[in-house]
Order: sequence, then structure tokens, then C-alpha cells
Amino acid sequence: MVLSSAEIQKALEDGRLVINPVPGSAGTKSPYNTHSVDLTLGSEIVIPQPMTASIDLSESGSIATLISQNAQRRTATKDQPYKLERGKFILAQTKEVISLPITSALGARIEGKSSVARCGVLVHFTAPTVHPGFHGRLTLEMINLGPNVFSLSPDLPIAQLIIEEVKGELTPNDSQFQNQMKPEGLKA
Amino acid sequence: MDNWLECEVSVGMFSTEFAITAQQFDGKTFSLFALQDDVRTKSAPNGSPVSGLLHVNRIKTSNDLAMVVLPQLSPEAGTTVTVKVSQLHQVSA
Repeated sequence: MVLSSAEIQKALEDGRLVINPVPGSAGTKSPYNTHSVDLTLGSEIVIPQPMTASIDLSESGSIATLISQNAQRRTATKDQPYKLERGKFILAQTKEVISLPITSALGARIEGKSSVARCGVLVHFTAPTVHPGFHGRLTLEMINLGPNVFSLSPDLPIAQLIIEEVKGELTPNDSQFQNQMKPEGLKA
Repeated sequence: MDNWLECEVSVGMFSTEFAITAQQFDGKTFSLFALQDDVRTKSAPNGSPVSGLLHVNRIKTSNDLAMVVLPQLSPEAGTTVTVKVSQLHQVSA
């Protein structure tokens, strides 16, 4: 069940959902739509750089360290927005920190906004799911597929969050681990 | 007492996170991005990684092995991994 904006606000009030800073606290236009809440852009921009090595997620290793070492970082400001060139891929984050306490049984999906989409800019692709228990800023995988350079400045409404109730048991249980357990001792 | 997993800590992509590398019970390495609140180090990582501890949730223990839930998804290992109990440190929050 997707939460309406009224239910989202109720979840914020009783702590089942935490968004910090609170949506709308900047005094701009209402961040709520019928069943979503707008999120804004943070100031950090990460620009992944080409590597000589290929990425193979099926191998054990340290992908996180590798791609961190091969990235440039920029800070966007209102005076000096980051100019996202045509065809370029960057990572950014929401200004808001999101918390979905596991006890709330709430999950979420991040989606784009039509105003940004009409400019040909994707703000996420393939990874919209925010799992119950998540805490942190949402990372945006952004690419400019449009014909024009797109300015990214902090506080720009960049995405919308859709909140969903999750039905069923969320606590990890033994049966859930069976396929991942190699040591015999853990199967006991 | 919370459980903390021995790991190597490097600078993350964003300023609020670290890049973490750790080992499973069989020596296979895995990595993830973790919020800085979930990591303890004696010194801040800079150009090279430093030793540290990653906050994990121990969900099952058998003999010298433990199954733990990671604070974030690992691209190589998923959300739960099996580690040696000796890799875990119990530290008050």
C-alpha cells in the first residue's frame, strides 16, 4: 500500500519515517504531492573516472575502494552550480537524510520529477528501492540524456520519494540464510 | 554490546561515508560503502587505508563462525556474510 501525502506526514509526526531536514522546512512551495514527497539535491558531486581495470562484481574484492579511488569530487553551490554536460554520468546525493526504522515496516522508492525528466536528465536508474531499515542520504545516479547542459545546484527539487507499507515478516530468519551458508556448522 | 567487524577503511565517494573492505570466514574479501557513524578508526583514512571496525548485527553464531548483517549492501557479498567469531569485537555503543 502506497502512503498518501497525509499518511506520509502522519508517519513523520510519529517517527515511523524520518526525513531530515523536514520537508518544507525551507519555506519553499509544498514538497508534497498526492502520494509522494519531494527530495532536494545536496552539494556533493562525484564524477566517476575511467579505469584500466574492468569491474567484475562476481569476484571477491574491494569494488567500493576501487571506484572511490577513481572518482573526482566537486562541491556545487548556488552561486556556482555544477554543469552536467550532455551524455555525462555523475553521482550525487539527496540533501535529506532518510531513516526507515525496521520496526515501521516501511519501504520506499525514489523516482524522478517530470520537470527534470523533460530536460532529459535521469536522476536514478536501476536502483530506486529503499529497503526497510535504511538510514542515510539517497545516492542519485544521474545522467544527462538531453540536448542541453543542465545546472545542478543545492536545494534543487530533484526527486520524489514514494513510501510503501511492507507486509510480512522483516526480521531475518534461518531459512533466509540457508542459501548463503557454506560452513557446515552454521546449518545446525 | 554491539558487534564490530575488523575491516580496512578508505575514503568513500561522499564525505559522509567510508569505503570498507573486509574478509569473510574463508578469506574472500568484500566491500561496501558505510556511513561514518557505522565505522570506528583510530585515525582518519587519507591516501591509504587504515584499520578499523564496522558496526554489524550478529544474527547467528555456531562454533567459531558467525553470520552478520552488514549496515549497507555489499556489491560482492550482499547484506549478510559469514565471518570468524575472532574477527568480531564487542564494544559498547
